[in-house]
Amino acid sequence: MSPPAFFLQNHVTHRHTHQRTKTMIKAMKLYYSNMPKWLLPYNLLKELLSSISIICNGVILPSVITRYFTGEIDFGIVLIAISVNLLLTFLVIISSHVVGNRMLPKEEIRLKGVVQRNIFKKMHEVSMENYDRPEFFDQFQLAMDNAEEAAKASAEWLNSFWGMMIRIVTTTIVVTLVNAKILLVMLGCLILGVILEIFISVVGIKLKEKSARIANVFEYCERVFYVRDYAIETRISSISKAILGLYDHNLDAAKRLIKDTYRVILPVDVFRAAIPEVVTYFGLLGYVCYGIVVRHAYSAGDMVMLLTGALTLYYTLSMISSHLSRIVDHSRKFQFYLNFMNVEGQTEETEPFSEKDLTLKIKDLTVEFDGHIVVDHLSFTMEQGSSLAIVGPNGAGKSTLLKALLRYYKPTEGHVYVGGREASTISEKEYRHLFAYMGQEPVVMEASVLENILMKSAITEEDRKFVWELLEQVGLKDKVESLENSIDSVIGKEFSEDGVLLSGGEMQKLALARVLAMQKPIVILDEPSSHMDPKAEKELFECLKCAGKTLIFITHHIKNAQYADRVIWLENGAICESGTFDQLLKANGKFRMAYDSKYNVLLGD
Amino acid sequence: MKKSSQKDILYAIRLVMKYGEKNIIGYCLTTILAGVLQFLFEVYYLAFLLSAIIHGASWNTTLQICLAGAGIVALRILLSKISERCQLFLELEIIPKIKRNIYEASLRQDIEKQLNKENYDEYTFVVQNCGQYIALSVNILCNAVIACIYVGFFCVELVRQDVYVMALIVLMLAFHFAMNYFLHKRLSDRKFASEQKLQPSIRKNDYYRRLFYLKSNAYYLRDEENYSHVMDLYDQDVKEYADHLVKCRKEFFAWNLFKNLYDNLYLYMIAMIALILLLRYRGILDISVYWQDYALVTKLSSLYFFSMVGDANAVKKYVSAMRKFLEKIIPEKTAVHLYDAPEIAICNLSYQYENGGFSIDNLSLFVRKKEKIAIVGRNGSGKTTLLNLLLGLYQPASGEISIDGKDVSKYFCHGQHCAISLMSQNYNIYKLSIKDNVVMGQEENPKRVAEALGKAQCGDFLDALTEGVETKLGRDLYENATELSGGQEQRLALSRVFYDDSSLILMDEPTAKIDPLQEDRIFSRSMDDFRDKTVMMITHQLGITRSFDRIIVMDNGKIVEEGPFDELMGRESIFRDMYNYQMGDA
Repeated sequence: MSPPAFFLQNHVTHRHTHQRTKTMIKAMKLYYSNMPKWLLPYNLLKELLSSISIICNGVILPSVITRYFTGEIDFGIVLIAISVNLLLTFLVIISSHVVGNRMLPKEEIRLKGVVQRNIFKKMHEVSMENYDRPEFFDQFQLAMDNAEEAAKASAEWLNSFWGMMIRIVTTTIVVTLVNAKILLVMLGCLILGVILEIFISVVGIKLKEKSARIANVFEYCERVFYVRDYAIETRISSISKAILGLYDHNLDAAKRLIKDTYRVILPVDVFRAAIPEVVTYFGLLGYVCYGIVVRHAYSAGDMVMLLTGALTLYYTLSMISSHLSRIVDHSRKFQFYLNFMNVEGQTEETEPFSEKDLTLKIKDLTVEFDGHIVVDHLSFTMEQGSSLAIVGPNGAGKSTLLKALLRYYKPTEGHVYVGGREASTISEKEYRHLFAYMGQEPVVMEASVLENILMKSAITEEDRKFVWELLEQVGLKDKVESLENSIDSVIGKEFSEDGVLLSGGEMQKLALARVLAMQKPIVILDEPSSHMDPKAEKELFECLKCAGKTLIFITHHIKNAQYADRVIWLENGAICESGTFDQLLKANGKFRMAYDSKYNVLLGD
Repeated sequence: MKKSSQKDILYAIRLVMKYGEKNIIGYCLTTILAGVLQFLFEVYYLAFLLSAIIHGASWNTTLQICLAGAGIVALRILLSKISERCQLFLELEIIPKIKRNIYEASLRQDIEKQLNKENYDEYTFVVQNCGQYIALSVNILCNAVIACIYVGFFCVELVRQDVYVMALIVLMLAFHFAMNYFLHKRLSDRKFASEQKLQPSIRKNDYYRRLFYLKSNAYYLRDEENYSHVMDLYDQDVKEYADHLVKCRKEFFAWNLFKNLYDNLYLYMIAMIALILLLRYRGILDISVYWQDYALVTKLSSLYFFSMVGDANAVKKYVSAMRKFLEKIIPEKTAVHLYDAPEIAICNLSYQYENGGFSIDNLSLFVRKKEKIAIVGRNGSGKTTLLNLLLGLYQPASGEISIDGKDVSKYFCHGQHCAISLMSQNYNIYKLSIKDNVVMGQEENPKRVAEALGKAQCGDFLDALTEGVETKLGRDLYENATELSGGQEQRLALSRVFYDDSSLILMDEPTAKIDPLQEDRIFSRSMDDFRDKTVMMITHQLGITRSFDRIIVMDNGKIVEEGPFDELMGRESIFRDMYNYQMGDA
């Protein structure tokens, strides 16, 4: 049997044990710092109680009963032993049940919230280039799926470690009272068990890493059948066949991966389970029997106590072995989270930005993607308060130019200056405060109209008034007034029974109202009016012109360019024509051609 | 009631049998054998060994007994590991197939009913819990068999042993069964109900995951204010989730506690004391007898057989929820092919969304064969709704739409094939190859793919791709995938219309993101292609409407004007006002 290919590749970075322990400690810290303070002492106390209860139940009680049957003790003692046990068990169950079912779940959801929040924060901070790497999404998937569980498990490990220590000490005392040699028998098996379990865990982690991409594909397929946007297309075309084809293809890959993994795991796993159980248990049994049959060393009562005591010890030890290997497992899982949190963010130290003048200057800006030059040595300057229209064919690099300007993408060459400061010397937060950006696809959250425009949850009476004004400006007032809950109507029906749906043009208007509400000095719009009717479009641009902000917009409706102080025609990432609207019309270049096409479509030639 | 519940269980088992194929035999055999071995070992082995030693067996015999025991345990471990593996593969076979069924069923539901909160909850509940409950039903299947075998062993014991002791054991087991039935049934009812209630919160949590995953949202979320608002909403939802969970847990908290106490106390205490007292009373003071009887009681009572009631109850509930979902499908329509350009008759059509959103108001329209209609009008005037109604996916409040005399609510869109070709305003680009995005799951014809892409002016960006039409889209799922700009995506979506080659074409702002020169090129060529087709197109680019036979101006769900371009421009009209707005001559 040859090991599967992936097994030979070494994806998991090998770390030293102390690094693993460090990861574990980080996980535990995350857990306990987000949990109530009483949890740690409570957990330790609970373990103590349950350990005592297990020893009473598993070691002392059976031996008392046996001694009763062999006539060594009275029935009264049996009853006392049983009632002590009863009380202990009762205590353990009630305390763990109240905490485990009543208090912990809430805290654990909160922990999940904290972990996800951290991951989301990272998603918010990482550079946009990461969104072009599937590995980044793999990392996201792994972090989301494992972090919380690993943190929880690490914390549990701490408790059970403590509990195990108690058990080991007490059972060792009980067993050594009768025979000390037994302890030695188990140690060898214990070590072997740990090694084998670590091996299995490593294989399992590799499987997880390998299948992150597949999990993302499954999620994608599920999304197609779930998200509203796809509902019509999936009904009137056979695209669902293709999507299910993708699903099946990845399912086969997953099956292959799991089969390959199991080929390695199964024999090891059988071996791991069998060695301690068969060798330890029966070694022990044989030894005890030998003591009774040949040496006549023990009575039957001793024997039962020895056996049950040894069994308890054996189970405790095997728990230790599995817990030891789980350290490796969980710290590796938590490492997924740490790895994701280590994805390079933007944290450079910068001086505060205090410039009053916000002249925008772009110099020799070049952006490359996969070896293609998308924006090619582009330069222009914009005074504060002026406006610029960018027009040009699809794929000319218009959107990329804006994204580079917004620092979503690092330019390969060249610089962007705001108020004379090089953009990269301004902190991310301050830079974002300068720009209001609206992309091609308006993002609308599943929240009320109000919240979608103001982007905050606490809303005052003044805010409401302000929103009504904005709605009027973007021409959405009538529509919102006609809604049942007016500006408190929730948009979208995914989570709200009385949610409302907006048409494409209305969504754009809503997103524009948001941009206007932001009160940022520079406004950047990527095809803001593509779904708007002509009247709304005209009103929009007139409104934008009055706002007195620095404005850059992309448009395919050439006529809209007349609202800008300056127009550039972009082609292949470079400025092809540039000037005022009238200048460009007179130049009789590509701009003029595009302008004319609107009138003469199909008539000319 | 009783009957239907049995049916649901049978349905689950039938599903497992049907999809499990070969794996099911291996799984059942190994699980049952392992179960029997374990039972034999745990109940008889220690007692047997003890009695042998007490009765003075020689060392050789004792050693042989030990070795035999070791052999049995080793075999049991091997079998149970194989059974674990079989179960995993079994679930891998079954669950995706059931999920696929659910996906497909969701597409055959009424579109309006599918896309609301209640149905979303139901749908995600059924999909997300599929694995859990189907795995349970596999378990039930095997453990029912194991339970039968155990009962067989138990009957042998009944005959062999002291009558009083056995009577006690039977009594205790009966009591245990009654208690379990009572507890598990109640618990599983409450647990299931609470899981269903929690579904909206879980779904909301997934929503945020999706929000951050999608690149299209990433730009938006980079903005500090947008991000902090989203996080506010998130915190609020997490808090709600936690509160909700506590509330749901409360409902079965007491029952759960009671069950836990009972489980532990019963086995160790009640069973133990009763047994000792009886043995004392009967004067059987033999430790090996006690040991064996005690093991018999504990082993039998901790059998999965007892808690199976609860699981079966949960599976039953899940399956009935799943079947309810699967049965929500609407009757399939009859497929009709449109070989020639059809005529469309819309008669007194009215439509209103539940929440008073946009609507169509008593609209009538007749479209001749091969007529080209342009629909214009303000945002929210009902244009898109009209096109959607033409597909027959939405149920009008009143009125009729027929294409070539056939009612659209009964014909045309059959299963996954529709004789009508639609380019929707929010077309989707799928994370497949470019070619698959054109073909959209139909029969593949490389020559026609190239043609369609050419007609939609996709040549320029395709040439730059080394893998051509095989290039994958979606950089989150594939290495070396490409990303298209908004206009390129729209042209790709437009090529589907050309590939479809249907004789009725509906387009909703097909060129909103395409630059004017390309738009010009596409239209000058496609109008030739569309010569023998009926076309209805919504647009805001009033310049293009010139080449259409008739322009329809819509407002508030009504047709307020109609006529050819020249006629509308020639007189005082809303259209002329709009046109002037766009051209800036107002």
